[in-house]
Amino acid sequence: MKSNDILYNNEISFHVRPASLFVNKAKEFMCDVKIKKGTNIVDGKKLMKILMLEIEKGDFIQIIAEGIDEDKAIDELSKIVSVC
Amino acid sequence: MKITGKSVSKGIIIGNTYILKLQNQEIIKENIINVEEEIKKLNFIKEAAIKELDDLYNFSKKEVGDNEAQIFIGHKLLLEDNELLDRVKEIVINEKVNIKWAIKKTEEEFVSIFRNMKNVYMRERATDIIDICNRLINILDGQIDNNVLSGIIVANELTPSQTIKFDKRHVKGIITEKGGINSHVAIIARMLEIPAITNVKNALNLFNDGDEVVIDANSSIIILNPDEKCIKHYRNLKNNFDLEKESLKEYIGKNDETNDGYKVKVLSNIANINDLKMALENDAKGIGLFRTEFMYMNRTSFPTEDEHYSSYKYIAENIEGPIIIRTLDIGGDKKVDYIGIEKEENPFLGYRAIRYCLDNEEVFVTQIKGILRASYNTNIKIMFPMISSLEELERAKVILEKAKELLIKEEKLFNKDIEVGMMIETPAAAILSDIFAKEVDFFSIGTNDLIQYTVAVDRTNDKVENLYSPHNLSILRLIKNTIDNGHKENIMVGMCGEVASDSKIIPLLIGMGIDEISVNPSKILNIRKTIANVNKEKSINLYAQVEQCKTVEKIKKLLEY
Repeated sequence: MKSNDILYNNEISFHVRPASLFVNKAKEFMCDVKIKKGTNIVDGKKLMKILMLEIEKGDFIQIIAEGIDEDKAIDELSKIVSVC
Repeated sequence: MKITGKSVSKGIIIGNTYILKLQNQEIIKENIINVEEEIKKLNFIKEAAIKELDDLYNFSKKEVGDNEAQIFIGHKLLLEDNELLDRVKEIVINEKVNIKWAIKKTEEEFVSIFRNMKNVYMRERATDIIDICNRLINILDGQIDNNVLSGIIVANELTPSQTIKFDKRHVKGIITEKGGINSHVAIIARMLEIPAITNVKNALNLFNDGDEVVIDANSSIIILNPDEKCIKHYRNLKNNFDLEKESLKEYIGKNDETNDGYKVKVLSNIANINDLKMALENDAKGIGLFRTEFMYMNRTSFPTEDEHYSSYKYIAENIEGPIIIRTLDIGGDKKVDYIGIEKEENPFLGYRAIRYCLDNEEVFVTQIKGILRASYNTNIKIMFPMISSLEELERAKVILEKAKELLIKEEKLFNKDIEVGMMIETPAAAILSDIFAKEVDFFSIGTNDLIQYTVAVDRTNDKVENLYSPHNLSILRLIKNTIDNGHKENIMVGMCGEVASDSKIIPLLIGMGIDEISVNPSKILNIRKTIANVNKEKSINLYAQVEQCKTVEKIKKLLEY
């Protein structure tokens, strides 16, 4: 299992458009992907769940991947969240 | 009757309203016996909706670009997630009711969740839920929307699905109750170049179908039932505005030269990819200033050498002409925590820009290496900001050489003859421009800061902002000296401050001998047109006349302000 802590620093909150880029990418990987904010952990391949987390500028989130391609997943998914 | 709102897309239009009513069709709750049949229908409409969204995505990618089109992928994902549809299923099974009613109930539940979120971006997502549920219901009804939307659309809000259908031959203007400057409505309106005003309270009650209105989105006003005089007035305004816009478009593809054939390049100031796109749309002949500090903002760590390299390379691959990259010009006024600049009493006179970089060599070298690598086989030039002494420039050039040596060791390619320039934005630099001209390949005059430092005025201070003026003779002298000193050493002298986009001062600048002008993308065509109407020979004696005028008032009069 691999994880990465990220400070979401984008002016625009993590809503449908940016989050769908994330989910599309997450679905490409075989491993499980989760996003954690505070005490909430949700399935990173489900857009609605991610929206419910209400991730906005200044939030600390953790991307968690578990499976064969977890390294690549963490790498690429982290990039998406920071470049958003 | 005058109504105000928030303009999100400029222009003027006189026309008739077309009211887009809310989806208020009565949805009747029906009791269902064969729940399984009902569920089967659900799967069918899910598949149909997904196909529609795929088509919409492909269509809008071409019409409005991938960024906007992405929203339909989002809708598709929300359907594939099943969370919305699972709730619909649940209601159908538990209450034994028809899917249409279950969808409506699900819509209300989710819309309520989103509308109660703290964040404004998240709250606007309620529109997406409404859009998706409308789509499902329309498929159930077999409803194909055949209504051609035309005239001035008045609505509560507009969903992505609705706006994507707008045909600018029919839709002439937009009035909505909701929608910010970055909402779908705003983006589509600007793309189609139709005037749009949002935040019009109670719009649906104020207007009836077919009302005659004037939308003046340049002043954020709507006039309901205008009288003859008013209509005539706005027809004139509209003609002028449209003519101006069209005449500027003529300057796309034209050369940057005066009417007696002198070349004065018009370049673009940019800070990010969006600016680059606009620069290209407006036919900028290059980038006169790339403000790299924006690469350092909104993040928690320094950009890496690779990030620098790929950003600069991207720009070089997408625009021809010179690309002047200014090294980090940031100070205590911008909130960038990780950089380590503490709060200062006088950030504009403080630890910023080149001073910070010379003190943080590693950060400086990283950026320079990125610029150098991107310079290979491209027209990229490097420029140092806020230089105020020869020692500073010399130290910067030493670090540049260090960066070159590192790259040679690492066997990475770069332009060994990359042009090196500096901003003339401190009085010190302007006064010593004769000395500096021998040490660089070009100057760029940064009038924004030059005026503040020379006239000693904070332009954000209401009490003294009227003193902030390029027409203070001191500034014009400094500009003239800089240009003269630069030309004595045969180097290029350009200008990238706001003064450069003031068309009334262009003849004077050209008469003084300015070689390049760099402005914000939206001003490029205007300045090109202005230059095309200037006769350089005749403008040469303008400066001597300015010297005779001495005061700001007389100078402005001479220049026809």
